[in-house]
Amino acid sequence: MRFLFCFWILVGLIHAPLSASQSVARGRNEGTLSIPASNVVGNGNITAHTHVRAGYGANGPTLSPSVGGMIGIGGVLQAAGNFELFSLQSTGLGLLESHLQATIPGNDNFRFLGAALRADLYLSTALDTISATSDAEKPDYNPYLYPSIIVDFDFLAKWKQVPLKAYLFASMADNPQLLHQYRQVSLISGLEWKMFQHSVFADMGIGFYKEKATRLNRIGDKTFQQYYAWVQPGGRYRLFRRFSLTGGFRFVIRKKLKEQSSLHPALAEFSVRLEAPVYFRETNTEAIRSLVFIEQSKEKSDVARSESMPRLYREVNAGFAEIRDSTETFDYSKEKQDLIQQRKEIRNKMEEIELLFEGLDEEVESE
Amino acid sequence: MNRIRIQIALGLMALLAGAPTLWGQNSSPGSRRARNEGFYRCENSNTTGKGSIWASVRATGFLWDDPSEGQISAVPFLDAEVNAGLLRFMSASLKSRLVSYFFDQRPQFGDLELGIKATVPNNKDLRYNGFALSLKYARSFKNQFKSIGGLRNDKGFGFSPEGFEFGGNSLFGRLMFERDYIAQNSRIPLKLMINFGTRLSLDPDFFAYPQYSFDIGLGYVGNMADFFAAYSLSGFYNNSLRPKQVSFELPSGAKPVWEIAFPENPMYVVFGGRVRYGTGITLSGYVPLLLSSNVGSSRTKQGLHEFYNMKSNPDPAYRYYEEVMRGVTEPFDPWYARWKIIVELKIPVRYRQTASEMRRSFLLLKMRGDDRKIDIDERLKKIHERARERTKEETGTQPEQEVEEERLRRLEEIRRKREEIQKQ
Repeated sequence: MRFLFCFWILVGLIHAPLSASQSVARGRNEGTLSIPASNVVGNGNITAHTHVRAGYGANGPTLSPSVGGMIGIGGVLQAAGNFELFSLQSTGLGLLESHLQATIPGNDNFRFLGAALRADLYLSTALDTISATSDAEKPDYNPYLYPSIIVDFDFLAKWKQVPLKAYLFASMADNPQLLHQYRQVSLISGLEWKMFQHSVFADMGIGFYKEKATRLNRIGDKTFQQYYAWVQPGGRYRLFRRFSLTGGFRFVIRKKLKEQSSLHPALAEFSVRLEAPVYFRETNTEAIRSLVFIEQSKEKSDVARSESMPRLYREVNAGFAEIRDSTETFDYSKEKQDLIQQRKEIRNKMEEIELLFEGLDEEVESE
Repeated sequence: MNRIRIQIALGLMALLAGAPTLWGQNSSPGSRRARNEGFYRCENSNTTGKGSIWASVRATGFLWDDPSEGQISAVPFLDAEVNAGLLRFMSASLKSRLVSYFFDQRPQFGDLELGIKATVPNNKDLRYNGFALSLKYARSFKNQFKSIGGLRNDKGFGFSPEGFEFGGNSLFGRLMFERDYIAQNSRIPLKLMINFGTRLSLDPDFFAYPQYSFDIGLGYVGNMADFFAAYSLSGFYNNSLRPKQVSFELPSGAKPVWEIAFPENPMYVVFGGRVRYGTGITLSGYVPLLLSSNVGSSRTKQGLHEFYNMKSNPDPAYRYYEEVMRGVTEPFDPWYARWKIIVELKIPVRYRQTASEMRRSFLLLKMRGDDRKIDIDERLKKIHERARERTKEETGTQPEQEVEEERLRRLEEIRRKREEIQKQ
């Protein structure tokens, strides 16, 4: 585990200079701790993460460290993977999961309403000895493939003074390691106050559980008889403008459990997640977000100098000022015109290539 | 020990996943493409470009547990492969499973596979339908592996969590078909691949158990990334509709008889994707999920108990009677790995651009962007027609050397323009 932890840290540090020119390495898909944003990471961008969850429930303490990563594909897709290194409560091995997320068009614009459909593949490492085809002599480790939906509203796209983002998330897996035993529905909503570098958020979720018919319980539950609801306040703090440290504290606020063979959810859980961009190119979406903040900082710069402001807020505004200094000559409309001109030139060159393709039927040997 | 294996597997996967970021960030993705990229086990009908050499490393991991043989087992494999284009229509490959099943807490060397592949020599350009044939010789060096219910012998034959393993020497032939839709319509960058293969053991005791394999895959092949879904099946040839009976001597001296029905053969649905980096490096990930299902007797505790009871006291009123009457002495269960995870890194050791992949890159780049009103196919068709007419006129008046010079000049210009575009 130490080897892996060191590996990811090393990878992050090796690649730090690659994006040294970026002001803030803010990923397009950054959401809260429990809900990813509907946007997908930039095309070809790679992010590595490590996540530690420690909690306490009816079954005693829980601890699950995990590592993973994600990659942006084609501008509208994102593949992500996560591996739980071990779990105190299961057989010792943690869950392997991968997610393929496709977002609606407009991903590279600064959009108000975003939505994404995700295919969630859980490769369970929980020993299944209770389903119809397995027992203690012939255990199985099952895969589960379910869809999930993410919807988010970025209020900053409409109102420049409100850096608020609201999230809704619905999936069919609340605790994936119990999928062999329960059908599940998970509904989570979240609010995030998303500042230039850092953010604060609060998630609220509810997980419904319906016991499946197994060798031990041949009938199973007819409805979702068990549920528990939780809230999770937390925040994101960016280190060195690059590494993102997200933390949150989740606690159960309401639950309904069966008397027999009931669930044992973690009643309180603390999570910390460190994300490191391994290969990062800034996306239009986040560049525009930064520009909005810079614009605002012009108006607020006097206030930012005030000694009475909280330290975090002063730091954020100092960041804006620094960026403003480095982008004084930036002219958005001129950039746009240049891009249109460049696109036209490329188009013309491609048409020339088309003409040059005439009669070309031999293998090309180059390099 | 188990945790060390997981660390090995995960470390290898992490290294493979992290490697592309170390190279090739400056060139344009998709500019260097291998002509023979397949969909996991489903092979492409094209061969590696003449003079090109591609090397790949593949890490595989899954969980499989037989309580009678010990605790939970994480199984990590490491494969390496080198592909070289010999002729425009022929390539050779050398593949090896460097790390196979652990035995006595040590990894075993797996196998060595030498192959040759030839395609119909019409692969100068993108082709709508492609056919190829490959022949491989494999030599397995592992004698011990995790087996379903201990069904394996000392020579390395038996049922492993991955399917039936061939020990010693074997031959593997494969016929490949591919439909490349982009060759007909540049708006459809899809590929369909179908493979049919046969595997034959050169061990006289196993001549009677040749295996077939069938793979079909459909995928999107883009400029920077590919995605696909494939179906993969392998099984014993069977000349009747009844389950295939298999029997060979176990290390204990016993020679039980198993029956394998068609749904019990290892069959997987595979989801995968590939990301292409600047220098041609590709990073692929595959997740095969098991589709096989049990027919008749099973290897659960209850299933074994019922079967052995039936064997000692045959009674037509109870299940498994017919199996016992057919001479089956041991229950079989498709107790293969339910899921696997595979990460593959492919590197161009020596790269030669091929016209077909250059054309593909061009069409994909052309279709990218906002202006989608141009019908490239129609325009290319017209250009081809015009070019044909012009060539007819020109070859009538120009000497052959001049035509060749003109062709090279055009080629050089294409290359120059392409570099300009990439720089922008």
